[in-house]
Amino acid sequence: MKRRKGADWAKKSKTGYIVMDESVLKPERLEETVALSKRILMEREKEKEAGMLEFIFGQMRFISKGTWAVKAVVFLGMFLALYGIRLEEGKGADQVIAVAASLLVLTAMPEIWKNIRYQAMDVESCTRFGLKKAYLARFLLLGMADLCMATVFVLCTSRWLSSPFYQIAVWLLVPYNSMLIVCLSIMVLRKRTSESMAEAGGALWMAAVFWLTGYLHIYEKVQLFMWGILLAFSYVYLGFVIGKIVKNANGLSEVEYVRN
Amino acid sequence: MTILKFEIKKMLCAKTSIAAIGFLILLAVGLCIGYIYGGYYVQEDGSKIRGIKAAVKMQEAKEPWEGMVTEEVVARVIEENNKLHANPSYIGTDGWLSDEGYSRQQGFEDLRNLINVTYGKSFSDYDYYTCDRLSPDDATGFYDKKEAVFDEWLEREEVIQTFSDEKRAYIREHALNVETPYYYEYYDGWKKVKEMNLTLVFGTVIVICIVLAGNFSAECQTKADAIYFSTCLGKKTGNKMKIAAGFILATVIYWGTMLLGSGILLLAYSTSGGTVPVQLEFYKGLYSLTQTQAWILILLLGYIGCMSMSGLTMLMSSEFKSSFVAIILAFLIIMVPAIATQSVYNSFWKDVLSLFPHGTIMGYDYLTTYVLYQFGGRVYSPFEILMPLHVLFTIVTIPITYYSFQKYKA
Amino acid sequence: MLEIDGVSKKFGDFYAVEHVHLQLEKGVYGLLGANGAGKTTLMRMICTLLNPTEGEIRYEGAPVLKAGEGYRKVLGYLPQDFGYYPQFSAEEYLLYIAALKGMKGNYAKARTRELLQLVSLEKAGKKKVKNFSGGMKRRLGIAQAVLNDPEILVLDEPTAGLDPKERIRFRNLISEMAEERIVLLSTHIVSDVENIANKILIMKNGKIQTAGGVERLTGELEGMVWKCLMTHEEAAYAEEHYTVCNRKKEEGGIMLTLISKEKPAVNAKVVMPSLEDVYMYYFGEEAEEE
Repeated sequence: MKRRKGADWAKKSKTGYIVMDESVLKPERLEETVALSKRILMEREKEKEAGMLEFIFGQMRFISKGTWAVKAVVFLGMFLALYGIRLEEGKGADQVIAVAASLLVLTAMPEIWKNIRYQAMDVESCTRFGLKKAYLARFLLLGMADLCMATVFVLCTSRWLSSPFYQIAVWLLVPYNSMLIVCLSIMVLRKRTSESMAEAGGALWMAAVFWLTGYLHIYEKVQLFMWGILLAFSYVYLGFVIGKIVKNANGLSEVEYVRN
Repeated sequence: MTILKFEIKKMLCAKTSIAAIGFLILLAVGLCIGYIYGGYYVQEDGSKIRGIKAAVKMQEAKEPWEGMVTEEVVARVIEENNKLHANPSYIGTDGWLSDEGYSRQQGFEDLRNLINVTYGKSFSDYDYYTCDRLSPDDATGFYDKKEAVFDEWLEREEVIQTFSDEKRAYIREHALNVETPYYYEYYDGWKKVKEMNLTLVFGTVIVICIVLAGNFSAECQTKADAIYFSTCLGKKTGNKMKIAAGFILATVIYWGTMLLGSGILLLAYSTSGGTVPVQLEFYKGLYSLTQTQAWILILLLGYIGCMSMSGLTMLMSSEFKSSFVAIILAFLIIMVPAIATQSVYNSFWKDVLSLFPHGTIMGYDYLTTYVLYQFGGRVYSPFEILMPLHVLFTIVTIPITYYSFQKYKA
Repeated sequence: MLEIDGVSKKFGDFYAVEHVHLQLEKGVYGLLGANGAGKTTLMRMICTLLNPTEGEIRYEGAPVLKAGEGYRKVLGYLPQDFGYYPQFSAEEYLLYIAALKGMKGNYAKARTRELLQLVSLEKAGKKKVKNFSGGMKRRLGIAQAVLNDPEILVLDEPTAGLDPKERIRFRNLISEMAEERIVLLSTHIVSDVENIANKILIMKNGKIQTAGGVERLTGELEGMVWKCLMTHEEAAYAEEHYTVCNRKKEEGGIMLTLISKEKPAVNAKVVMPSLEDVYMYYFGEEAEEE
C-alpha cells in the first residue's frame, strides 16, 4: 500500500507492514464498517436465487427421517425374509415381496399428505417454487430412493433365488405400482377426499395383494408377458395421476379436506 | 348408554368405516356370486349350466344316493361307475368319459371321491380313476381300509420325524374315531360355505381393524381430546364405553357378514346335508363333526380371532394415537406370521407362528391338516388351544387399553 | 400497484366476494369485516390460492395468475389458520420456507437468524414448533411471511393470540415495513389498524362497503355518535332501537354509547366517533344476530 502524502495515521513498521495509528481506530466506526459490510453482503446474497437442484435437495428436509428409516427397515426385512426362505428352501417369496412393496408405498403416503394434514399448503403455495414443484420434488425424491433400493434388491434376489431378473422385477413392481395407483387415485378425488381414506384404501389393497399372492397364487395364473403389459399401462396411468396431483396442487385450498 | 351409542356412531360415521364396510358387503356378495356361478351342472346333452338352476339340478341328481353309505351302497356306486365307463356312447374321442357320461356320474361324484380316497395305494396317494379299476366285490371291508392305511402311514420315517409318539397316537385315535357307516346327503351348500369362510373371515378381520383403528386415536387427531378428558365421565366411563363400543361393533360386523355370506350361499344351495360327517368330505380329517358343527366351529374360531384383533387394534390405537400406525401394525401382525409359517419347516417354529391371530382365520384348513400342539405329554387340537388363548389375549388387552388411554395427557 | 379489477368469487350460487375494485399502492390497508364477510376469500385470491370466478388481479400491470413464480417471489402471506410442521424447530421451519421461496442457503440462514430475533424467538429457535404457545406460533408465522422481504404482504388476522405488548410491537413492525411495500391486513381488532393503516376497507357480504382513511370514515359518523346516561328501562329500549357501541354501568344509571341520526335522549351528548363506532355502524345488526 502506498503511503498517502500527509497521512499521519499510518506508518511503515520494520517488517514492512502498514500499521495504523491506534488513536484513529474508533470502535464505533469499526462496528459501523462491519455492519455496512454485512448489509452489502446480504443484499448481494439476496439477489442470488436458489436453483432447481438446490430446491429439490432442500425438499429432503421436508421428508422426515422416520420415513427413510422405515423404508430401510422394510428393505432389510425383505432381504432377511428372502434369505430365510432361500435357506429353508421354502415358498412365499412372491408374497413377502408383495407385502413389502405395498408397505414401501404405504409408509411414504403420510409424507405426501403431510402438508394437507397440517394445513400448510396455503403458506407453501405462496412461495416462488410453489406447491406444484414441491410435490414434484417430493415424488422425485421418494421415487428415486425406492428405485435405487429396488434395483439393488432385484439384482441380489434374482441371484439368491435363482429366478430370472424380470420375474423378481414383476413380483416387486406389480404390487408397488398397484398400491401407488390406489393411494394416489384416492388423493386425486376432488370432493371431500381424506388421508384416512387413502390409508385405509391402501391397507385394504395390501391385504388383497397378500391374499392374491399367497392363496390365489395370482402370478402363476397370469403369464409373465401379460404382467409386463399391465405394468406398462400402470406407468402411463401413474404419470397421468401424478400429473393431475401436481396440476391441481394450487387448487388444494378450494377442496374441503376432512379428517375421516 | 348414550355415551355408548355415540361412540358407536363416531366409528360408524367415519367415511373410512363406511367405505370399508361397503367393501366388506361387496366382498361377501361377490364371493357368493362367484361360488354360485362357479359351480356347474352338466346336463344330459353335455351342456353346462351354472347358478342356482345348476344347484337345484345337482341336488336332484344326488338325491337318489342319500342315506347311510353301507358296503352295499359302495358296491352299487362302483357298479354304476363301471357301467358308465363300459358304455361306449359315454366315452369321448380322447378315451375318457364324455360330458354326457359325466352328467350321469355327477350324481354319485361325492361317493366316488370317497371311494378313490379309501382305495388309494397309500395315505398320500389320490388317483381320480381308482374307482374305475374296482369291482363291486371290493366294497367288502370298506370301512376297515382306513385303519390299515393310517397304520402304514404313521410308521413311515418322515412321519415319525415330523410327529411325536403322542401326536401320532392322537392322530390315529381321532382319525379312526368316526361313526360308520357314514350318512350321506347333498351337502354342497355347507361345503361351499366352509370354503368361502376362509376368505370372508380374513376380509372381515381386516375391515374390523380399519373400523376400530380410529376408536381412540381419532380423539387425539381431531384435537377433541382436551374436551373429552376434561369432562366428568370422559376418562373413566368414556374409555370403558369406547372399548365396549369397539367389541360390540366388531361383533355386529363379523356376525352380520358371516350370516349374510353363509345365508346367501345356503339359500342358493339349500341347507340339506348339515348332518353329513366332515370325514366324508375330508377322509383323513381328525374331527368327528357334522357339516353344521364344523361350520359353527370355524365361525366361532374366526369370531374369537376377530375379538383378539379388535382388542389389539384398539390397544394400538390407544397407545400410538394414530389410526394409520394401528392399521399397519394390525395388518403386519396378521400377515407376517402367515407368510413365515409357509417358509419355515421347523415344526416348533411353525407351531409357535400358528398361535398368532392369523391362525384363527385358518379354521377351514385345520379340518384338513394335522396342526397339533403338545404340552406336557398331552396333545391338543388348534381349536382347543387357539380359542382359550385368544379369549385370554382379548381379556388382557382390555385393561391395558383402558389405562393406556386414561393416562394420556391431552 | 396491485389492482383488483371487478373480482368475484362464487361458490355454487353464493357470492363470497362480489365485484371488488381496488387499487393498492405502498402503505398499510386494513380490511375490516365481520365473520363471513369475504375477507379471507379476497386475500386468498390475491395470493393466487383461489381463482376468481370473474375479474382479474394485476400487479404492475401483469395478471398475477399468468405471472406465477414472478409474482409469488414478491409475495408474503400469513393465513388465518397458520399450518406448521410440528416436528420442525422454528429455525428448521424458516429454512424450509426459505428454500421454497428460492432463497440461497447463506442468505436464508442469515435472514432466519435476523427474523427470529425480530419476533423474539431467538432463544426458542431450536425448539420444536409443537411445543410453542399460540402466540409464539403466530410470531413464527409473521416471520415466515416476511422472510423473502416481500413487496406485497398479506396478513390474515395476524394478531390473533398475541398479548397487548406483542400486538403493539407487531403494529410498529408493520408500520416500519409498510414504507416500502403494500401491506394488506385483515382483523377484527379495530385498534390494530386504527393507528397504522393508511386506508381502511370495510367489507360486508362480499362487497367493499366503504374505503378511506380513519378520519374520513369517522367523519362520516360525525354527529351520529351519542353518549347518554339512562335508566335500566330506557337502556333496554335503546338497545332494541339503536346500535349500541358501548354499555357501562355507572352511578346513576347506565352510560350508553350509541349511533343515531337524531338525538336519542334529552341528556344525550355528541361524542367524537371512533373506528370501532364505524365498525358497529356497519356490522352492528349482524353482531346482534350472532
